[in-house]
Amino acid sequence: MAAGALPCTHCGAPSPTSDAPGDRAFCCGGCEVAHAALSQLTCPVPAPVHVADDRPPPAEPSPLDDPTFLEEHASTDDAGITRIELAIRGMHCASCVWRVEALPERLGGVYEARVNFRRGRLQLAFDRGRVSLGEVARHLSRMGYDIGPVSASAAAARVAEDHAAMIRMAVAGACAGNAMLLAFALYAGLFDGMQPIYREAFRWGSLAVTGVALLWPGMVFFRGAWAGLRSGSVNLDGPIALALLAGGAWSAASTITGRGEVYFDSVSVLIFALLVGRFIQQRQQRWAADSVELLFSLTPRTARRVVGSAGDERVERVSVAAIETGDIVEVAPGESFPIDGEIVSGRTAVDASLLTGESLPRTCGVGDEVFAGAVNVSATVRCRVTASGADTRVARLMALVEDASGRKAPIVRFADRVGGCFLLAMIVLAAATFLLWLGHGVHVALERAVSLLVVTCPCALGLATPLAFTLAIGRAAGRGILIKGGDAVQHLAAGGTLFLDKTGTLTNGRMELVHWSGPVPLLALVAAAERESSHPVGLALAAAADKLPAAPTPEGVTHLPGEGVIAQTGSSRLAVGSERLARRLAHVMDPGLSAAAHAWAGEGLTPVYVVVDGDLRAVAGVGDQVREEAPSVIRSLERRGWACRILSGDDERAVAHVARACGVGEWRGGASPETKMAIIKEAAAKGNTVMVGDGVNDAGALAASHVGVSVHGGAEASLAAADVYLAKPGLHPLFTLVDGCERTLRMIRWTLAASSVYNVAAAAVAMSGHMHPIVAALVMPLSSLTAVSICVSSRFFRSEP
Amino acid sequence: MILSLCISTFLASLLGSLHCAGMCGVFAAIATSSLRPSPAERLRLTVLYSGGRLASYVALGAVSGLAGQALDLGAAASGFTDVAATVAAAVVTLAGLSHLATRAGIRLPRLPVPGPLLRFVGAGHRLAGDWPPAARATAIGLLTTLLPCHWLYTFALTSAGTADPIAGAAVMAFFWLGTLPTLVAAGATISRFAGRGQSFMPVATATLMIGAGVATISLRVLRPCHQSPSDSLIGTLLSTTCHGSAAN
Repeated sequence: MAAGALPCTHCGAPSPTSDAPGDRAFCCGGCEVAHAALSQLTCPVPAPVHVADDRPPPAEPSPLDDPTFLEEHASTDDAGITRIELAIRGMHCASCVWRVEALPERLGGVYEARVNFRRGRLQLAFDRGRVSLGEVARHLSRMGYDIGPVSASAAAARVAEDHAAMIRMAVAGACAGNAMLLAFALYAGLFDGMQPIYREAFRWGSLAVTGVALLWPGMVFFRGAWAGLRSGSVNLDGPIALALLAGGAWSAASTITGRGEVYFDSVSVLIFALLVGRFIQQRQQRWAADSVELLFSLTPRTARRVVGSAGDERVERVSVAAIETGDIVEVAPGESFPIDGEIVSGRTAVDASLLTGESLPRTCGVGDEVFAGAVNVSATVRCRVTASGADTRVARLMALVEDASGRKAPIVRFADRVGGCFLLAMIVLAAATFLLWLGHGVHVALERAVSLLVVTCPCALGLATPLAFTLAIGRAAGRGILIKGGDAVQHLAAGGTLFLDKTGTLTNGRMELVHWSGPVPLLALVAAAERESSHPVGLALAAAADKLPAAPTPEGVTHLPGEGVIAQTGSSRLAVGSERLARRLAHVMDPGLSAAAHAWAGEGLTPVYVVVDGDLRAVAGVGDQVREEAPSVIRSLERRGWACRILSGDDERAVAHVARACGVGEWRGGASPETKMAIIKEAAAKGNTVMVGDGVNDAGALAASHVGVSVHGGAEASLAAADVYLAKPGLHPLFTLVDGCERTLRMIRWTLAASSVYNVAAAAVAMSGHMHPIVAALVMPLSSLTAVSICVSSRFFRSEP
Repeated sequence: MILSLCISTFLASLLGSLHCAGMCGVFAAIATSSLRPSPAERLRLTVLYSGGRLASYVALGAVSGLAGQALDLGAAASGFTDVAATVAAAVVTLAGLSHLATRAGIRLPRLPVPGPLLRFVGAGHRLAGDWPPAARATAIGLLTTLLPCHWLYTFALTSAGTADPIAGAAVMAFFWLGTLPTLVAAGATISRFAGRGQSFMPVATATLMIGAGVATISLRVLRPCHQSPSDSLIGTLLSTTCHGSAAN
């Protein structure tokens, strides 16, 4: 070693004395950079090369297999099947969904893999004894997908994904632009002549530019194709990568050999066009996904938070995501509550029908609970937040609906099957096209085959169909109709036998005063006497006083169980009750009033006799009235192919009366829940059957039918038993539901038909050689854009009969 | 002629590649390390690492050749010929001489490493370090070209001297071939050998650099061979003498 030379800090070779502090010396710039690079490495750096190290590296534990993680995020049932929801990244089209959902066929121990594309979620059911989650992750990684725990950073990952996609597009655009410029120069030379040296220079320049396009933005296709190859599955990236590689290699070979045509501009522009198309496709899918976020359709996305100390308070509008437990939020009349909370100031009427099924708003004051999704009807209130976002009652309810929405309708399974074969069929067709056109030269054959692969699109099959169901379910939720699963939508669109419960479904569900014969002031007295009554008939009479002038409060009210009420009003003795009570107390029964009472009884009403001081002075007819809209709704449903039947546990006469009033030809009264279930099972065996009834009392019948529609009770209880819950009272929502489902299916069939026509026509044009790959790349997103736009813009649930 | 240059490059690279073991051995070891150290896995990673190096070397050679060609084209318009080869040969020879001078204890100013390059290469390796083994091996291989190694860039200049992107790429491919045995076997054996060779390595590489410069001058400038840029690589490599049309 020469005098003054120090060993190089990196490689140990002699180097000049360093002036750097710490006496670090480098023999050359390369060692200096290498040393700096090594010092920044975070991966385990093997011992320096001069020290032999043959120790095996440590095993690679997957954080997904951590027992704590599994305990927190997974659940294992009695059969030993573990279920978990994970975030999945790397999916960009419908075929990705098919590939991931085919996991059970590829990996033993995995029973189910269900993808929620729009949320980027994977639901797994697997046997931990046979396969670990880490193995599943590695298998998916080889296929090109990453899975991880669901976290709040999903949105950030989405932004990062978008950012990377835009950078790729920008680089591809720049490369395409430059490749085209160079191509123009070459074309100009073709006509006007060009010195070979310049021609070569332009060709090499194009090769460099296209090389960048292929190796950077174009790498997504190669990566996808490679993942497909490794996992042994077919995806669209495979043929695209093959085409890009073939085009690039052909042109590179032409450039190197100095013979033949080059297609660098085509390859570069194709990469750019494909990336733009894919980006547009993903954006529109995400836009569609955002628009069907069930929770967003029921709760506001922002809230007005009260900040500052007492006396210096101000209200700021913030995202619901920023709201924390303990915050105070202000809700104005007409707005929905964005959170679950407790009223701390103000008093208002709250419409919580979505959650409770109560048809009338409830008055709430300080200390009362309010729930996200409920509507503040009358006055501004402030609430202290007890739960927000996913922790709210409505969010848990929507999670129930969303989980069930993964249930695939038969038409979606059909689309899946067809879509699975689609790609393979297109690849076979492309191969045939290539062979057919091979006589015109390899590049011509390649161009035709690429055009075919690019222009044909399984989007409407794989994406638009499930998207339409999801959208329909989301739109329905916005109208207070909660639907569990696309299969329910398809059954409701098919027609068949529709059984309706009587009480609360075809009738209003509460006793009302229907007829009154006698002096009106006496009705006010009767109502006053029944004010404290808890009997449905008494309640109906008491409610009738709302529209009458106030009457003096009776004294000495005596309730006679099974008979009625006796009260003293001033000097008179008033008795209100059954015919038996009236006959016992009345000296004379007015024949006209008695006849009226008997006639009402024949209509299914309960006759009430009013005796004053031993004289029958009035009679009333009380009953559960048929809903005003029931006849028209039933007629509309029958026109749409539904055979309507009444199935009730009530008295046969009352049921017959309601059936006549509604125009229903077949009915069955006095049916116990078990009988109802048996009847429904029998009908379901014969064809499509829908049961509309009470979510609690008719639970068995609702479950036995193809689709159970619950119209009573709270949302949670109803959705536990039924497939559909109608939060709004009346029969109009039932018609809206059936009509909306029909529209959804009609739209799906149109989309499928349009997609088939498009693909057949596009394939024919491409195979016949009338479509350039770049035109194909531009047309491809248009098809999916059209399909998805039709879905998103469709108004599925809108009409009333 | 190009084939002669390529063979010379290969031999020089092979001899001088002990320098590579010192500088890039650690990277080779990182790139080929795996959690599943089976022979097949090690071979796969070695192929990826070496493939990454080859790709970036060939690209560097092509770009250098193109730059040389552009220099020649520009100079030709001004009436000068073989400027690229002359400049390349001069720079390589001077670099070799400066190394010898440093070895002899003469202190010469060394060009500082640009900060952005230092940061970029560091960031690239840091990023690659977190990737799966296959991607990491390829990335580290590709990044090797960015190390401002005088030995590597001597041959990049030689490539520029060919004034032809194909020939430039070919030179760098042969340079890669020369480094292959050393970096593939970057382990204890090579290290011990490199340790014994440390004293003569700087002299050897500097001498080889001067040799490369002289070879470029003699082959390219003193024995002009005006090859058409449009000639194919295969044709060029198969020809050990000057192109027929040029000879005529």
